[in-house]
Amino acid sequence: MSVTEHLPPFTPTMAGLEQCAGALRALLEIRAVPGDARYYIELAFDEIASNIIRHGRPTGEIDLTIQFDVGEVVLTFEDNGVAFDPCDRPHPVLPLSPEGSIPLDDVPVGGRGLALLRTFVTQMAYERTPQQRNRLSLAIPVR
Amino acid sequence: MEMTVVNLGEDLIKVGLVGRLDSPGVGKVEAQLLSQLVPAAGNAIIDLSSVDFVSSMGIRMLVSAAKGLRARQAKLALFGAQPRVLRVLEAVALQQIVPICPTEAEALAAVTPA
Repeated sequence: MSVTEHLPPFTPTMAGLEQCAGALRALLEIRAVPGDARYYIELAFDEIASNIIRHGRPTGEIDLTIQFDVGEVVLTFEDNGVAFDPCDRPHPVLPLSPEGSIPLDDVPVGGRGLALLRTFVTQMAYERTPQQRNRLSLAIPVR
Repeated sequence: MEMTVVNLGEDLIKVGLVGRLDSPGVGKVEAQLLSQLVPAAGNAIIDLSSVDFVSSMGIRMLVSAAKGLRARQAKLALFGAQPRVLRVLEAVALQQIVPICPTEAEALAAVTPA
């Protein structure tokens, strides 16, 4: 059985993100999602929502729907920011700093978000809608 | 997100982080953490035992701190990470950039000269 929940759209600001993160946590608790999966769902939310705000710079609110399926949860983000397909990015090679081969000075400070997502997200799909909106879906296994 | 700082001696401080190291949490604590740690240029250990969530923004902040200290010939080590937090840190091989120790004693040993 599949159930889809819509959270209130949130403004593309850190305050908006924080508010939505709180609503998402409450929903995952009500739905009794197991702790490990809950962590990864919250992690996917933080990575994608912060990317949209920092890089996509939407002018309108960000929509989030959460679909609860057997064995997985699918998060779908929609925003009117700059077109960006994360599925299209080269896969960063983990680890980013093989010991001894890259001095700490040369280790990049950031850029780990997508690499981290790819360690637990089982499916990621992107489309630019005819309404010029980004729609990004991520499936996270629930065991 | 809260932060405490304890001086453990000359050139050695312990920082305790409490809360969620997600984007909003990092936004609240990053400037304070880096300004406490980096200019002091002493060795530091960070207690993660009360951090129940970390995202790549949190990892970014920890790498910034480690790089800032390294540039000043000082060392940083982390300790006490909860299992789920530890799994995320290890998923991006953070332990190859900053020592991640189970206990405070091991973190202290990692930053102080033998």
